[in-house]
Amino acid sequence: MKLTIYHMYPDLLNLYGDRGNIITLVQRCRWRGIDAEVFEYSRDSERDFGDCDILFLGGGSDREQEILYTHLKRYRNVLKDWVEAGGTALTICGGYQLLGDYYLDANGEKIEGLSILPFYTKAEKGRLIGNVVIENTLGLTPTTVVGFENHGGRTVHEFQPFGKVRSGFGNNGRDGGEGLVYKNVIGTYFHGPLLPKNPHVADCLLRKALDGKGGAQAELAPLDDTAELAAHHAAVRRFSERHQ
Amino acid sequence: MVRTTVSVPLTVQLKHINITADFSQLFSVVGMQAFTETVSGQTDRSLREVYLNRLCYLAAMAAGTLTWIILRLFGIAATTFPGRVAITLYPGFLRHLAGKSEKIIFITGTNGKTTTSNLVTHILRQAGHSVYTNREGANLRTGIAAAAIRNPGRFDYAVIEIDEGVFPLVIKDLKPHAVAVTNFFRDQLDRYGEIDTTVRKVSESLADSGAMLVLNADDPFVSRMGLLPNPRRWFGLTADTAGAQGGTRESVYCPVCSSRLEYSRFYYAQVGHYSCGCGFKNPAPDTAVTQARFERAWDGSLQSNGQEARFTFAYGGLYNLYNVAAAAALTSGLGIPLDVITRAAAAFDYRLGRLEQITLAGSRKTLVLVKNPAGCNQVLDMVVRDPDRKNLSLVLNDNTADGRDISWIWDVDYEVLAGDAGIDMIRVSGLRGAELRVRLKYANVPDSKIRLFEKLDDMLDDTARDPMPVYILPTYTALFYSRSYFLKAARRQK
Repeated sequence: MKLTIYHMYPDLLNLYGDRGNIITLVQRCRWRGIDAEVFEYSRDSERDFGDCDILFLGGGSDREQEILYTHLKRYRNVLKDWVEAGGTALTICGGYQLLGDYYLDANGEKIEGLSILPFYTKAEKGRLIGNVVIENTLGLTPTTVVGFENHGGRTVHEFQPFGKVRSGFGNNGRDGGEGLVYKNVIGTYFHGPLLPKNPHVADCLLRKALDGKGGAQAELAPLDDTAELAAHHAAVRRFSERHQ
Repeated sequence: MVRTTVSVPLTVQLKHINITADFSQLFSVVGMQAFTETVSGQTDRSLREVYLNRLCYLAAMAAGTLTWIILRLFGIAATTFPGRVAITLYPGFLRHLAGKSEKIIFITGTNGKTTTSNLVTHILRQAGHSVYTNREGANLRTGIAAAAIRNPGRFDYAVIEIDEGVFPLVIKDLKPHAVAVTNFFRDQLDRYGEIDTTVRKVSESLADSGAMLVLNADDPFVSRMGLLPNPRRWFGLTADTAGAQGGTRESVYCPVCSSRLEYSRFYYAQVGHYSCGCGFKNPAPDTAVTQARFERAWDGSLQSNGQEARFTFAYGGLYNLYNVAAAAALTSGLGIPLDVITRAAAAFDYRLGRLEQITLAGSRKTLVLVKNPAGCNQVLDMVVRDPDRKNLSLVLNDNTADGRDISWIWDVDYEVLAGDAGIDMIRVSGLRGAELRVRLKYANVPDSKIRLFEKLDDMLDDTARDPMPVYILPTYTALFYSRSYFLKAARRQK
């Protein structure tokens, strides 16, 4: 069994410890005897998306995201088809915003997105920063997912959110939703990074990817998640108590 | 103009506390001083303003001084509270520090500020100058005010380290004669967001200050400040020293043409020898470490303005070579002879949690502050290279001063601890200790080697009793606590 993870533009998008998500996926595969290959997709190193089992698109600074978008937009249709066909992806912050139609920045300028899904993000005054706890909509156990958000953009969409906000801001600080779920794509504002202390989300992505490889309900061997869950629950306790 | 000052020394002796404060600042004749400081041609109205401002400053100084005395009487070591009092009462407080010293020196950047400013202070004092400094690393505006309050009188030099985020604000109030910029790394993201913004803001604030800039030639984020009109001195490394390779690279793009920079040598993070097709590359350093070898201490060669001298420095890590180069570049720019500089560096005895050593249970316990990936990688590299067997105690907090977002630990290469690494046990604690344990697990450190302590005191106690040498790596808010815990334990063990 082999899984290929596309780490998108790691040279441009290496903020906020998000590579921890890649490390988590790779290790959780290796500990189960699943061969995990990470392909670092960048402007000078491309590969067919057909070979991709899990796509990871993180966030970066404005300049880096602009450079990335200029490169990736030529694959807009390929990616849209790939998503519709059930491709597994985790998109975070800027990566999540990029799935939509556009981002309206602080000056009112419309920055185009990949239009994989019809939604938009609008920058408003004051950044939404702090630790977040949500209750996931994917039926995963534990129900909670915990992380750290830091975004100026407010995202509005009509899809299934990744979770219901228990404490923190979420997509826009108003509608109580965080992130987005569409087929096998998860979009979220969760840094932290997301996966290390939310092993159930990591395994959810791995299961989706294995399903996609042709294996009805592929079984993932359980791992000893004592350390991860201890960290998870400590964080949930700490950040549910008060709104920061 | 006749200037009158009344000097009232006030000595208070209470038990073991002896405080002498020169209250001349309080009682000097305000009018005369204010007048002599005005520029000729002021109108009556602005004279009144100057007079009033001066009064406000003196009142704030008095309040701050009183606060400091009271705190000392109660044995409280709060470093910045007197400064907070003064600035709250009078926000323009820092403006009045211009007259407190002949020359003002600022040191800013992400890492190395405290070491560099302590070393600069040490060199200047060895050269016979009087210096006041905010040496405790209290580098926000309140810390700077507190330093002025704790050091009454006039000095030859003010050596002030300034957090790079508040630097643009401080320089508006207080104009320096020289500014050293050590480096820029990703630090606390929930405070500063993006490096480019921080660099730009610091640069812009320097442009019309006229200050002499002392800049790291090997950091492309710093070297772009060479575009500023200020006079400048470059420092860097040309030594053939194997340093930590790999680790996090900040996206390194040419600030002139945006292409990716080529490196012929990486020292650490984005610091090294870089070049770009458009011509952007390391400027030639005026002061450089040309040779260096580490074996229990750095031993090498320092070249400055055509002169060459041997130097030694007790504290390891490649990053310390940069601190030495920065301090040497700055002080030689102030006219201090190279032999005075190297003699001072050799005798430099560092405290306060940067490689601070305390003997407990018969062995060396070394405190090293960690704040961000670049710094932490350097420390881990140094720890792994230590030939003695040792243990590690890691503390991860997420208070505001530590950075509430701790994701930076995933940009640290804890993977270097995976093999034996000369380490038997790794203790973890702190408010986010549980996540540090997860990080280590994913770094292939066997769980059997890791011990999680819910309570920091328990970990510190266990560390203090450990017969092995231990490196303790706390984040900022855990540092002072751990330090005083160990000092108390050391006294008990005597």
